[in-house]
Amino acid sequence: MNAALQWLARFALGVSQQAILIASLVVGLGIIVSNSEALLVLCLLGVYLLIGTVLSAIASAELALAVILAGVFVALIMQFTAADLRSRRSHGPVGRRYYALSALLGFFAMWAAFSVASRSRGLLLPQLIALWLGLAALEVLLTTRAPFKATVALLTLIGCSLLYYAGSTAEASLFVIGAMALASFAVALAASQLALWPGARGEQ
Amino acid sequence: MSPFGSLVSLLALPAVVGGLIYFLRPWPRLPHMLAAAAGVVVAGVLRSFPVGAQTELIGRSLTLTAEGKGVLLAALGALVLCNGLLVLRPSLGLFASSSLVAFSLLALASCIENLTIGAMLLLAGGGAAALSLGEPKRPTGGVQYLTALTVGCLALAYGATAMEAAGEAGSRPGFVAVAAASGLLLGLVPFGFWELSLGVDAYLPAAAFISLALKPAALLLVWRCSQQFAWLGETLFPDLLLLAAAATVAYCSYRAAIAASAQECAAALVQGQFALLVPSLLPALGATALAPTTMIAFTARILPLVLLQLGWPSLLAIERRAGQAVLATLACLAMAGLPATPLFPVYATLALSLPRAARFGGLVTALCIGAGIACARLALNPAADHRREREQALPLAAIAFVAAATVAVGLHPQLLATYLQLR
Repeated sequence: MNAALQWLARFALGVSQQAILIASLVVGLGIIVSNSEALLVLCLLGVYLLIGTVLSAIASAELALAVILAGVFVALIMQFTAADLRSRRSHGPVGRRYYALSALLGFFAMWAAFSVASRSRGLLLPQLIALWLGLAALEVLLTTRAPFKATVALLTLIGCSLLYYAGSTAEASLFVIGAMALASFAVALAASQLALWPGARGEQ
Repeated sequence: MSPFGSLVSLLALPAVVGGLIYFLRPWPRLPHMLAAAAGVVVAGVLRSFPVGAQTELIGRSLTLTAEGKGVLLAALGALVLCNGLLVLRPSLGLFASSSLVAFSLLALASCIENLTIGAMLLLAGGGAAALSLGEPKRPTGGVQYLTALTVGCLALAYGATAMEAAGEAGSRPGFVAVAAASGLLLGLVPFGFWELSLGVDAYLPAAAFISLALKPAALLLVWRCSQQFAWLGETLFPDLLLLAAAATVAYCSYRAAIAASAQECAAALVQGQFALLVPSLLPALGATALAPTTMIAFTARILPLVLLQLGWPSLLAIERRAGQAVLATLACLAMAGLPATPLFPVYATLALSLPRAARFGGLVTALCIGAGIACARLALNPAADHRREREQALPLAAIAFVAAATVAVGLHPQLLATYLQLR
């Protein structure tokens, strides 16, 4: 365990802020635009890894490891759901209008996040990442009707709050992180069941 | 500490029982029987705990307040009643286990002093309750419910943290977050379209349990938030809530009047009924003077709601006979506060004690009009969408039992006060 913590701390120190910002942009755009379950699970895992990396730099390595472990388990639940979904049905056609609307709203979300970041000079990288990923998740919730994608957005939203709480001085405790991880598990389990209902469909 | 052990052990016990009875699913009636029995035992022991009992959970303080005890007893009543009725017609889902686990998490959320952690536990409890939503043809209601729950709980947690950090000066983002969270979690229009969809799409006992356990727990957190940050009462917050509640009641009354099926009508009336809780509690924001009335207002809804949400669609789905029509009408009117039903003394008390009782009376009348039109329409013109309702129909004996209990409690309102140990 100590070796893992040390490796995580070294890794966080070795990664530049620009790399983390670019990774968060890619992950956020992936969640907005992608309609593939496998890619969405990968993006969700990316969100938790990003949060863990940021936390190991600004908080403690123990907290970061706890978040990454929670994220891996949540992503596993979603991966099993995705595998079950893929075995049950094939993808329906996805309209161009959906992609166009997603891309447009994604652009607006990015514009809003970076506008806020440039206006408030004190905004730190963790807050900027939380804001961007949160806006991306809200954009997905506004546009999607597919339970699986909505679940990934909800879990991303919980992850952003986790980053906010773990990074702020207000409620930085393992209990808060544990309660959020518990909520993530409950939402992932419930939403997996919803996504596997026979009537669940993707966007048209 | 109570002679029966610590508060944490008691609140965690249902979750442990829920985990164990998951493995008893090969015997369909047994999980429901054990869940109902566990609910009765926990309610009995909980009543022995004095108000103000304190303990710790991983360094955080847990307190059993008078309001929290009322909410927990109401949730336990709903748990026992729903599982008891399902003994007669067992479900194939996870209702027995998930209702117990959800109760434990909601109970911890209601007792923990830290509002941020309380909101997170509420989210976990709501997620656990969602495991028993069933397998309808469309998952819209479930997805909407989970979205509203997640966004609402996160907003409430953020609002509580922001306002705590700001102190007496107040925090505008915190105010906006708490107002949005209240609308989302309490099912107020325009945020709360999820509840009607859930009532139509979900398994009926699961929807009823969520109404009776999750919403009071959410209301308690909002109420505690207003108590902790007293300046909220001097802002637009009460007016916003009143406006949202009035819009919800009007919308639900309209939806009930034009509903195509009994299940949809019941869902609309239930949402409207819970919206009525908000204006009745507004004068109590930030104060404890109306706490006994609050608890009775929570608890009095259990029997009429179960009768309406489980009984009415079931009755209309079985066959239309004279006795069944009488019971169905009673179910509808019990929610409107007919004399000799549990909500009648609640309304009478509120009419006498509320500062602006005329507004509240107007909202009750609006809901009654919608319920009356729905009753007449469904009695004269049987619903077309009976297939799903027939699948979920409870036996007539179970509905008759709940109806008899509704009238009995309505005629003897002191039974509720005794259950809540108010006298």
